[in-house]
Amino acid sequence: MATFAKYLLGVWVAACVAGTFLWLREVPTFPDPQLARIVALHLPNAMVVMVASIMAGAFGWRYLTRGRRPLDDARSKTAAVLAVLFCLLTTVTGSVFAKVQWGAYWNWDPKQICIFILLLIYAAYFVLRGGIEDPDRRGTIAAVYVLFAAVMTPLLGYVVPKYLPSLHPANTRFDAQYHLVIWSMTAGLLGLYSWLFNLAVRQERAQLALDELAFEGDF
Amino acid sequence: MRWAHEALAVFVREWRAEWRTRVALSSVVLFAVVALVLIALSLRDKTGIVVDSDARPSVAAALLWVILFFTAATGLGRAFVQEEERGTALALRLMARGTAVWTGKFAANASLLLGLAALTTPILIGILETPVKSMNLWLLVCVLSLGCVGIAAVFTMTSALVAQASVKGGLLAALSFPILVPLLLAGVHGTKAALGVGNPQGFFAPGTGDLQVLVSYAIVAVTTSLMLFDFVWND
Repeated sequence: MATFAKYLLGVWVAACVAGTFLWLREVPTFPDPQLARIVALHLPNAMVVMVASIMAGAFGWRYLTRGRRPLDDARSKTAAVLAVLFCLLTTVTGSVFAKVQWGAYWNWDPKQICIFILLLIYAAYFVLRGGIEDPDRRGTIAAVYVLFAAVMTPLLGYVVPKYLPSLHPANTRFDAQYHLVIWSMTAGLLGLYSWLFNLAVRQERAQLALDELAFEGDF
Repeated sequence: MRWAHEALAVFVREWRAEWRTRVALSSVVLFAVVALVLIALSLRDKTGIVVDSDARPSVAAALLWVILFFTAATGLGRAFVQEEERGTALALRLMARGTAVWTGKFAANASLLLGLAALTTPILIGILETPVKSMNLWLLVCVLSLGCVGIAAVFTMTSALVAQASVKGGLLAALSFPILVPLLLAGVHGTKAALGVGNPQGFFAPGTGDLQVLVSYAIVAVTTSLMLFDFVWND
């Protein structure tokens, strides 16, 4: 069953990529109509970043309020790691798109600033985790920082566009073809995300069990 | 009522302990002086200030917030680190509720930062020879004080987190900066408006949007910190 799901996921994502390159129409409103197809690779990654960030915050909250179980901390950390991965993918695809459409890899566009600040937050988060020895303290402090950032960063979405001009097209209307590819790709990437998440959490669980055994062995 | 009493006691104790050694106070003032002298030396050549007179308010606003952010990072980090180092955190836990401790520390930090802003701003405006005629003093005071309150709230929270970590120095600025970006943007914009950018008569109106952002930011920062602080403190 699990093997079947993996193959299905592989075929699904491959079909989405093939659809992006072979089936999607060009968009004449962009400076480079052919390369507008990058959107289908860029937007789904950004959506996975959002899901992963929300999960990092949610598991942090669960860690704090439901008896500080180490596994919840591990889940929160894993979601943060995957958020960084997809954040980087979003930044790279977005930069390529910005280069071919707007002439520069980086324009200090509000959305670029937001994703950059998200990367900064996760970088600080991992440094903070690295600086605390005791696993219980580490879990608590990391969860509090993630939640603090989760409450404060949405302000960016309101504040940054107020001060800086945006190049991202406002109220874009994708046609049905683009909708289909973008949402299928999002589903595929979310599947990939849950697979990675599941693998990493299982590894963390095994590590926790191993640590406990080693701890008992000391006495 | 007891809560307010506890918070006030923490605030008073914070300043009394600070006054004995004056470590944070002198380091923060020295940092500001060094930064100001560096700015004065680097923006000057044989002909005087190198910045065009039109650009001076913008440059002054940008530099002012850079100074405020980094002085906060040097001075406000001590709040909880000291408690852990001296081993007084436990006594403080017995004496006051978590939220009261946070509020007292926050008030001490905010007052330190406000005093520093009151000291730095006139000197910086003097160094850059920013035109005073087009300045709106009330807007400047409102923007700076709200900005200091917001910065103090975020730094009080992050310094409580950093106090538990083994690396402390650079981490505080790294943790606080991404969270403070909305405040810094609004602060710089509001300061520019107060110093008369695009507003030669020095009206109040161009800065009201920035004040709205700063007020809402400060409210959100204080509320979130109060809600989350108990998790860090009562552990």
